[in-house]
Amino acid sequence: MSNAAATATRTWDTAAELCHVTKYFDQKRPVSLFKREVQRIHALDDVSFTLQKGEFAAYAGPNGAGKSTTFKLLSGMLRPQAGEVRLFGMDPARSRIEVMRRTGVLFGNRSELWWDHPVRASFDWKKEVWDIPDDVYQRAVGELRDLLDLDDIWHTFARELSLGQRMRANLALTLLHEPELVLLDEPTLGLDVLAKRQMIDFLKRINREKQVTLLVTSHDMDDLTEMADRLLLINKGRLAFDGSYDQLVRTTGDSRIIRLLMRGDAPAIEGASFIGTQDGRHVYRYDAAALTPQQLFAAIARIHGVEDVELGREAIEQVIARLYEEWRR
Amino acid sequence: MAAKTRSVFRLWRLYALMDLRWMLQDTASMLIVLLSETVQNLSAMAGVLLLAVRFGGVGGMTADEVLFMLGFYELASGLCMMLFGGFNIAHISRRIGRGQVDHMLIQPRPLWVQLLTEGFMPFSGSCGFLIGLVLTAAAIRRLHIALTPVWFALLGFYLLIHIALTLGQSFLYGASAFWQPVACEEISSMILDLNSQLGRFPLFGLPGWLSGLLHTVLPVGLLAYLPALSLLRQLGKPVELGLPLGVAAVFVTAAVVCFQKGLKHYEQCSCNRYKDMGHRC
Amino acid sequence: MKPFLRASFATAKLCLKEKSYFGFINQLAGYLLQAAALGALLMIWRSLFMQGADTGGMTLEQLYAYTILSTALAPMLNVRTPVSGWLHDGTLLGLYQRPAGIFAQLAAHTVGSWGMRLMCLSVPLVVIASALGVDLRPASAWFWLSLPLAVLQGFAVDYLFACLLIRLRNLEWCVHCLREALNALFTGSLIPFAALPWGLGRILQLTPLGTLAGAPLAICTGLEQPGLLIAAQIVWNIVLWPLALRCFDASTERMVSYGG
Repeated sequence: MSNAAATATRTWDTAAELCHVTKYFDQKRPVSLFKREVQRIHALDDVSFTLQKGEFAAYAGPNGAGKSTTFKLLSGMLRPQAGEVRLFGMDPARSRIEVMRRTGVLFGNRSELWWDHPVRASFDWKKEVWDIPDDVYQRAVGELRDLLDLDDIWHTFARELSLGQRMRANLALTLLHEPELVLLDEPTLGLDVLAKRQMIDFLKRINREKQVTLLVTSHDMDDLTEMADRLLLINKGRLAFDGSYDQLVRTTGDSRIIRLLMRGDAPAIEGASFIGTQDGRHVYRYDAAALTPQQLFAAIARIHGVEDVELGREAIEQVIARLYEEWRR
Repeated sequence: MAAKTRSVFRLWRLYALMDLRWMLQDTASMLIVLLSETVQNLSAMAGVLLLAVRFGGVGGMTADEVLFMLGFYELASGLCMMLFGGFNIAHISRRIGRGQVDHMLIQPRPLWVQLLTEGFMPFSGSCGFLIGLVLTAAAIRRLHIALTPVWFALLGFYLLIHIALTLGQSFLYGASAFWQPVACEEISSMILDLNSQLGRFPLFGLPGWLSGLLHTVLPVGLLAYLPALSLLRQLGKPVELGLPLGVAAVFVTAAVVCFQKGLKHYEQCSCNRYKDMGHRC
Repeated sequence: MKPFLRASFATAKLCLKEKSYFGFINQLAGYLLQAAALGALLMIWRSLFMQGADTGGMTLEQLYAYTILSTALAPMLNVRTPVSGWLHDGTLLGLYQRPAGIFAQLAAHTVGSWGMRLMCLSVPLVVIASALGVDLRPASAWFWLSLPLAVLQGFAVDYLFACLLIRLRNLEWCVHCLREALNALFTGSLIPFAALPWGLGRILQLTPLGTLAGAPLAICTGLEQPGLLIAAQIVWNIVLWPLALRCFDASTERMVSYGG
């Protein structure tokens, strides 16, 4: 049995694993015409997490947090300075070929399509390079064309596709060899509402029906919330949160929002802080753990001229934005 | 190994088909491709040929011998471009410097298989080779060269040396783009341009030190001049076989070592930039 | 300083600095290769003269000066603005978002990018050649008019190639091939026109491409009389600039809607 195969059977239910991984880069910066200064950038600092097979996890963090570095480490493009990266129990840098047969990687700003060929040619190319058996290829192409709506663009030159069409074709190409693990870096980048919806539905479907393990990054938190059950938040190279969205909301203090429709200036509400006025409604935030509904309604009842009241959870986007801001500080 | 060899042939077939489809995307494109490649190849050699005609020979060679040398250069460089010219394989520093190595690393194929096959363009890249064939044939006819099996073996040997030297230099210098992606992005092109510019000149009459330099460190003399002399005389002296072989071996070995070192560096530091220019287009 | 000049100067300065960030050592290999190519070419000329060929009155020193100046002034004699490269990735679009003329910005970018090469290769070349006894002083003062005319004409030619590129946008490589081919033979940058047979040089030196490198170099080295060449340069500038402006204008829509 080969080394790769021997280690591959060790952790059979684990798709990917980062174990105390540290990765830094030394960046040269010009301080004058002839002088360079070396600055060490810690992309990942002692990061550990495990993705079980069939999991759908979101990977988020502010710009420069280390998301793309993580993806490159997982794809075997980079080696860590410390710690261990394993995919299906293998070191992706050492067993790159074996790992890549079972993994699909898509970077949102990069295309795997052959620019001056019809979309179909890129699929034929991948069949050969990935050694995809005929039956698997036929089945996968049939499904992907159907599910990602590729029929209309199947014979179109890749250079002539719109951004949304290109992303769909790229995603289909990534999934053509029926990977067990899919790493998607910003797959919804630049997509319109409908294209984004189709993409999300499709990813949820392959995760549900085929037990494909997915790790997805995006700056659109609403997309991530909708797609993934688990959220990994990274900040300045450290894993800042690993859990469900509900857990995240609870950790950050179960923030709720009140919107008051009324004329005049925003009045003060005891226990809530005024955020601003949007569309004629005064918006407040309060911590549901600190302010009971009775106390809240009593406080609102004391205000004159209230025409309407809306209550709701704070959007995950805002929760995360607040977190990023706190981290930056 | 047999499986790998089979896969190389399958991939060559695939890339040949893709190249043919690209060529045939429309007639106008095909004609423009053929025309521009022909003009480029002819004009690149025209300068030296015109000098030879003007001065009744140049560098100790008659005009017909110069024609033979230029024909050989076109044949060899055309073959090299036909095999490795596509998608910047021969201009490898562009791929490295533009951060496009990532695209190779996600393919479940050994890198050497990818490098060996991805640049294959037997149709759109065949112009130089065909022009070389015609020029060489014309020169052979005018010079009454006897075509023996030994002569053909020698021709094959020098064609391989030309390819090894071209790729060896491109990969050796191009590997520097692993460390300096921006500054060295075009270094392979620069070395290929230099080869193309100087490789077509007959180097007779140069001072010994310079001639030595141009046959070893900067081996432009081994690309066409020395092979042409050897082929014109039917069988080269031992040094005419040993020197190109030795220099090519040194360049190829150095290129492999540096490229692997570069890849190791890439695994540590990746590339701090990405440009899709030239990637599959 | 006028805002227009200030803006152009700022752009050129940034382009110069951009090159300097790559580090001199990192660019040294490229410069050394170019210097080596020049050295080999000079030696080839020398061997040509040593075989006693009839050079039609051209001296070896003239040929040396011609070749050295051709390398030293290469960016000016073969103007390459960044426009061709920018078409591909949509960078050109950015120029339209700035409160400055497109051509002025492209010129500033181009001139700025010359700086590093001029400092690191051209100046040392001229100094070393002069120290070795090659006289690089212009044989005629008309060279100082011919050079700017060649640069100006070079910009027009580059814009015309950019327009061709945008017309044949899927055949970028072919346009590149075509340009390299024309440059190799028809501009006189590699081989002086005086060294071509059958009187070819007489015709080529008056063509729009021939006047780019051939004219200033021939005037500088005294290979040709300046009158006719400068007249040809003026004529081609008058013809090519309106053509370039018209073509560029007609291609703008394609340029800004491609790439990006």
